[in-house]
Amino acid sequence: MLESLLEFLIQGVVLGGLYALFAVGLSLIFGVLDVINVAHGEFFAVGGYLAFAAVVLLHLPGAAGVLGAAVGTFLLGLCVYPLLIAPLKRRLGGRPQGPLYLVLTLGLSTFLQSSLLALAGGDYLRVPPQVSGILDLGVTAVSHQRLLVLGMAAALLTALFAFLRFHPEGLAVRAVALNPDAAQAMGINLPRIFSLTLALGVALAGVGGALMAPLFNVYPAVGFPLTIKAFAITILGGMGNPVGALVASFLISIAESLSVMVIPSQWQSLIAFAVMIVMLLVRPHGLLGRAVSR
Amino acid sequence: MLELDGVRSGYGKLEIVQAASLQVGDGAIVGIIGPNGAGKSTLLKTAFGYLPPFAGRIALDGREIAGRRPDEIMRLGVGYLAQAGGLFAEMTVHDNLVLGGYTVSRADKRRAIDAVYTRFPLFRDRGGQLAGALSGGEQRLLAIARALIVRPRLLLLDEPSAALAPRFIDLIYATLVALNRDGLAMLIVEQNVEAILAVAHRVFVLDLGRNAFDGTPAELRASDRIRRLYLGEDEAAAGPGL
Amino acid sequence: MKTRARLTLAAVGVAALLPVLLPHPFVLTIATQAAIWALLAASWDLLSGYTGQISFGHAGFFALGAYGAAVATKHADLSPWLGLLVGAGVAAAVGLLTGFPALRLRGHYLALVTLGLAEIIRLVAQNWLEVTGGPFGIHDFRSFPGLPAGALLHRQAVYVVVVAIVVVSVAAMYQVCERTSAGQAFRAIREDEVLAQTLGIDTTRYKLLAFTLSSAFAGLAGGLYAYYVQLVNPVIAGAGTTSLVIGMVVFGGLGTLWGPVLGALLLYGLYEGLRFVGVVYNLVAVGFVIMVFVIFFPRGLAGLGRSA
Repeated sequence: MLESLLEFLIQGVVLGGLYALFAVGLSLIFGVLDVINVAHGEFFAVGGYLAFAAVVLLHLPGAAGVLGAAVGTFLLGLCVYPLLIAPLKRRLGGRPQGPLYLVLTLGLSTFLQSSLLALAGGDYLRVPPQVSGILDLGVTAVSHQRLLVLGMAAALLTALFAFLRFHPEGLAVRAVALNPDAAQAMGINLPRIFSLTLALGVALAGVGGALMAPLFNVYPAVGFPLTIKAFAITILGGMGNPVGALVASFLISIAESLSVMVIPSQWQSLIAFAVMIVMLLVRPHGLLGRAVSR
Repeated sequence: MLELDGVRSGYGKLEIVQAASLQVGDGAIVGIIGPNGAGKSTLLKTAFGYLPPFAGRIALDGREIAGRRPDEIMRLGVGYLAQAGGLFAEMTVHDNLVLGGYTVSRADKRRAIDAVYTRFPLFRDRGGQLAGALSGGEQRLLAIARALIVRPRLLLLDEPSAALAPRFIDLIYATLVALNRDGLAMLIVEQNVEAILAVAHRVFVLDLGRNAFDGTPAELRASDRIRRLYLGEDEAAAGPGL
Repeated sequence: MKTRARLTLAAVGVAALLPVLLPHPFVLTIATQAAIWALLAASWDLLSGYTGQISFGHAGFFALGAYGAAVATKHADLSPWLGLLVGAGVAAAVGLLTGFPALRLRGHYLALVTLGLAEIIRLVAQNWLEVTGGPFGIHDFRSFPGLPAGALLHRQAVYVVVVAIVVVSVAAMYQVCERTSAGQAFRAIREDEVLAQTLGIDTTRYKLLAFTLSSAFAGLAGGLYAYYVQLVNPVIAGAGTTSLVIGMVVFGGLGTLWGPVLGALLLYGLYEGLRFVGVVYNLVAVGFVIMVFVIFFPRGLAGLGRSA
């Protein structure tokens, strides 16, 4: 019994790394821009496609695939604010209309996903693992690829939180999340911070996509189930709170993993949505509330 | 230094400022007073770029700045102090000051923050405290201190005395006067007429979005009508025989 | 009713007659499905456009109606006419239940909770093998009885049935939204809920009513879809459906009812027409339309030409 518990716990932690990469970016984008990025999963998919292009088409090493995914999704992400969100903001004249931005990013999601389908076809593309081999922990075995995902998530998120905490630009990002008017009075260029934050957030998803490509395969809709789950995670942690998203990622992934002991595995995803609905009814601002982390 | 000419502005389709003009000379303290809803705060926000003007001219040192973003105007040497919520309440006092120095180099920033701690010693030991935990008066002082980091030439203040105890109002205004002696110009929107009349070089009265009067504080006080309408004096206090 | 609306409906009415007068199987297929989508779009507009309760989960109500109808006919051997009612009833019941928690949520939180609900419905549809047939769904249940038997004639008859039901339903919704105090209450809630409450409007009752009506008609559309296509699977509860519906309403014009009907017909025509030329580009166009219209044409086609 204890052995199974441990096994599922470890698997849950490993899965949490992926969720964290995804959900922290989503939460950060909401915290700073006040926009829920329904298209987040599509950047995950794009990351996978870029990794495929780098490794399978251009015969570059796996690391180049990951780097290419990061850079590519970052650049793509830079386009979103000026092309889509800023024009809507201008038309709304500063009135907050959350659902309209949701509809906008839903449109973007549909557009990106079907564009990928149009450009690359619907086949499941295979990408070789960046690292091979398995780590045998006795009670369970974890592939090195999955450990890489966890490790990269840890490294990137540590860098992100350090950036937010210590770097002047990171301080500016937090300032914009807290009080955009005051941030402007400090000389902070809002459109620049918005673009930067969005690009950073989706780049995290893109890296996730590149790292998970060997495990999930690459196809246009690969990111969407993660997006919906990430909504549940960010709500649990507090929308707009990246630290909350980090904590909630592991809470959900471990809960999902442990739940296999009591319910059939195909119902695992229900947990995340049930949690989300309960949270929205009981405590909509999540476990940790909204403030951007220190 | 700052000139507003025939400015019209408001929110969305709602026009609040119908036609307002004023001038702030170099190193002057200029006040804006008037009844609630007259558009004083709206005008100040328009001057700083939070609201685009529907019409009119806004010039800083002769250069047109209407339609520019607040952060651009800030970099031209203008500071803005909001009526409420201008601080980053969930951040520390020190981080607020660091953000005040966002546009200056790291070395200058350190020097400027040290200068602030020297000028306002009460903040020196409280750098790690959350800005939102300070009292109302301390928060107002912190906002001023923060604005000084970049050595602005003009400060726009929206009701600096609002919701403050009298002792803090005196402190704030004494600080502003001292800063003004060093050459800092100010445009102050005020509800507390006595406080602003005591320090301003020139006062503009705004009513229903338009200029109603302007002059020195002495000129304002000399007019019975102005005193009655805007300076809040009683009918009874005006004397018998009316 | 405004001239623009009248003209549009007249044009639509004429177009509606075409498949009867010039029966071509392909035209019939598109027209029938377009009519079903028009009903679904109108139902979404009632809740999200008129009452301002933005739902991202209408695919769920649609699926409930479709599965309810299919299960009723396949497993309980009920007549499809009854099956339609069963489907609509199930959807309405779930819609009413959804209305309760929705009372306390606004804006994107409401959208997310409805999205979560649709996802749960999709997951249940995907995994509850005994009832829903799992990923493969349910197929080969009867179609409407008592209709002519010849292949083309049967399709025409089904088309007429579908259009008749859709027209009656949309007319009913229009009546409620534009001509009753309930409709006024809906709009008051959308504009300013607090104000509506102080004016004495029982916002709870009307919000629940909006949810129930909207989901009932969405379920009815689902039932029609089931009997027409003769296949229901978990995909219909997914994001593609939600995206299409929202796209249609944004395209046609939120909060007008006739706008979404028009938007549904045109967008579905565009969607299927594009599928003709290159299977993969049709959803690209839908996504593009959503983005462009949300930014530049917030009132959709219904608002074109009108000043802001």
